[in-house]
Amino acid sequence: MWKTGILSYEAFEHDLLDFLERAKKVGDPWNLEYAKGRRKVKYLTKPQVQLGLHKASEEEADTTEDTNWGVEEDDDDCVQSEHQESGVNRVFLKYEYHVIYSVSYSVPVLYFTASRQDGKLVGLEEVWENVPDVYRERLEHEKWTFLTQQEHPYLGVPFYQLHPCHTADMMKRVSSVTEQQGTHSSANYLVTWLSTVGPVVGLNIPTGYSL
Amino acid sequence: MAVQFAPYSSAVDAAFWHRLTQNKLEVYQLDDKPKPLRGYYVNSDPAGLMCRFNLDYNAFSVEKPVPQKTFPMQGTLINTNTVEAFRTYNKMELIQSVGQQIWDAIRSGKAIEDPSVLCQFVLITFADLKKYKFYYWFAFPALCPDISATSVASPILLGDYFTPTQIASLQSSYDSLSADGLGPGLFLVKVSESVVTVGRINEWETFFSVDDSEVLVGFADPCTMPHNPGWPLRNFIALLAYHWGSTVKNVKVLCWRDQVRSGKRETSHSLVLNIKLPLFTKTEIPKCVGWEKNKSQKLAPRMVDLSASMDPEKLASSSVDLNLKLMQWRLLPSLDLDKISQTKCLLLGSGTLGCNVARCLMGWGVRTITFVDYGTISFSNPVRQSLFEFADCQNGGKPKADTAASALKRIFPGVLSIPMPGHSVGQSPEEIEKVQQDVNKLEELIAAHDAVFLLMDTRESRWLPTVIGAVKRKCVITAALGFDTFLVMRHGARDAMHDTCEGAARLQSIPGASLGCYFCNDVVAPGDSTRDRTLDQQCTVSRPGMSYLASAMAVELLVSLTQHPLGIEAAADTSAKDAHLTADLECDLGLVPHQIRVFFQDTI
Repeated sequence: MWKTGILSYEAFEHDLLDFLERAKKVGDPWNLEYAKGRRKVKYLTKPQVQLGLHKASEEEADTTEDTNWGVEEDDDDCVQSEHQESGVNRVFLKYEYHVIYSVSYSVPVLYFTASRQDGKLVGLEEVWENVPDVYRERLEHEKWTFLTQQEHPYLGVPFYQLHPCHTADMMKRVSSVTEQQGTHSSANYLVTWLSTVGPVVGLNIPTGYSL
Repeated sequence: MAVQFAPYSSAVDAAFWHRLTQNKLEVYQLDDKPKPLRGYYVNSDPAGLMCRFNLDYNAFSVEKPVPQKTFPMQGTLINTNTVEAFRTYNKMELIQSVGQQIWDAIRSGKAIEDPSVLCQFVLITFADLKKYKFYYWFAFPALCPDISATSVASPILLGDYFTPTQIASLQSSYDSLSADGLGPGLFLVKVSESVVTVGRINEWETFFSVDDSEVLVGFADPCTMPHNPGWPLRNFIALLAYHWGSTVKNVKVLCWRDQVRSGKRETSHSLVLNIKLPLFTKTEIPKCVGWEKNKSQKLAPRMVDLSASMDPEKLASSSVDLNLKLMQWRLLPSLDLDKISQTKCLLLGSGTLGCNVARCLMGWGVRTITFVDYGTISFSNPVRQSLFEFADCQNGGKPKADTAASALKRIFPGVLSIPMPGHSVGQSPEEIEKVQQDVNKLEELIAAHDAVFLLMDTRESRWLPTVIGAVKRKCVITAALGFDTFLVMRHGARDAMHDTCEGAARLQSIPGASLGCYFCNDVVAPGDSTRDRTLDQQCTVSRPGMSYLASAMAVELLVSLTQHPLGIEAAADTSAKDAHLTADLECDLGLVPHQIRVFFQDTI
């Protein structure tokens, strides 16, 4: 186990591959990615969609109306829009979770981004609103749920990050508890860590991972 | 009843727009020829979501595999150079040309060997990279038959159509055709009691027996609607109708929906349709449709404004704000950041104090900072005055206010910094007219700001702004340096209506209206402070760390004042005694003193 709460990159990679195996069994769509320009550095990504509520105020008016765009279609075989979700204007938010190893902190770091259907990023406040109440309270009180915005280390685009400064500390405590219980033979750092911090930002790790 | 298909709803990742921008600038430039793309759809979305078609970061890497449990789609990008070219591009011809490819692939039988040619998309874009606006329009070409497919019977849920054993058999047979987590998008299905087998389209002739009373085919269905199939079925049944329509009139179609919920795989919500195949009577290409409707369900393009995440200036701005908001969210929910950022600050003096006060104000998100200074930068300045560099001192030195203002803009473009050079306030007795103008200008400036920082290096130059600030009831903050001492003070909000406070010395806090200004609290009588002073008495000769300390204190004092319910009329806390950490203070940022005097000799 991780008595110190930290991991070497080699140990991270080992647990990452094991995590992917477990994900495959569970049917959780995690993908293996390689850092750009550094083929040996692996990281994990997972896309997820969530229904969100349509906020008329947030939408920009379509400025593309009243122009002749040169397309006319008459298609009876297409589901007509008014049948698609009887009047309720649902939108979806696309989340993307990345698990990346931090050399400085020697722990994995959870990055995520949320965007609308057209790629426009969703602000942190709206991300909060989509966090279940029970977890929102944790965000207020638990220091390892500290969120910041960072540039993605490999993609260079803005991502939110659960700050890694308390990860080792938290994992050290978890490790001492499970050690006492003697139930750590098949422990995977990523499973333990993600199932603890993930739900706060809408990422769930089903129990199938630890079976 | 005609079968109605649910159209795709495009979902584009921000990273795709970043890559498009990069490609446009570095690779395509003015080249608007078609480029290959690849996207994908899923059949695992929860109910209520639209038929989602995705374009992600890897869309330009056609050879890269799509993510696990998704279904690839090949596509074409047309990136036009102007909005006009985007508007006038012949879109009907464009979709028809892709329709032609699909039709040719169906007729030649190529689509039987490689059914992926049936699912294609087209994307036409115009990227306005000055404004980070992207106009875009997707088309998912679908061939229209002369006689549409019709439902023979109502759709049945897979859970009602097959037994659990059959479903398990179907799942494992489907999985056996999958490679690298990617299953076939279009496939054949046959049932033999409890065994369900899945086959590829090109196995048709051998897969089904001649005496099979009915044919069952399947497709990965991105639709989540309870009665309708998704878009990929359209060209699939066109293929079936063209090749086998003469012998098979009716087919059953498995709309394969395959999701994982809390770690458990579910497919029983898939639909089984019973349809009569459509009819294509001619050999030339049928009509082709499929342009995506926009948010208001009109046949028009969509537009996304990504300036908030792509424009570096806006990014810097939102990062600065986010940093401050974190402080509010995590530590001080009552912190009113808008009040701070909207405070307009006038900095009289752009030397060591002015430079550092300005930097610290920016840290708090203050957006309007005006510098007033008549000096130029000399060789000794840059090492202490944190907004200047060596090059600024050459050729006689650049004007301080100007240089400080442009340095702020370089550090953070979101700041509005205004230089005001040439005010030799109160020091030019020769030109009375000029002085009068300067005084008027100063009065205007003070009136136009909320907070005035007195950061000059002489006592005399503080006099006039002190008086004007008092008259206009502005928040005036003085910072003054000695060799190893400094003073930071907020001027009181004295107003003639208030009675003076008797016995202030006995109080734990003094009402804001009873606080004095820099001169009220002076320890020496007025005189010419620049004459007859030894080197150690000139305040510019100070321990270098002093200005950082004093500047920081001055800014924090202002910020505390903005958060106090009484603002500049805040009472001055003289002491909270031992309870200074626990006392219920009026201001959430703690004590708001009247003045801070630090004597370094005594503390080191």
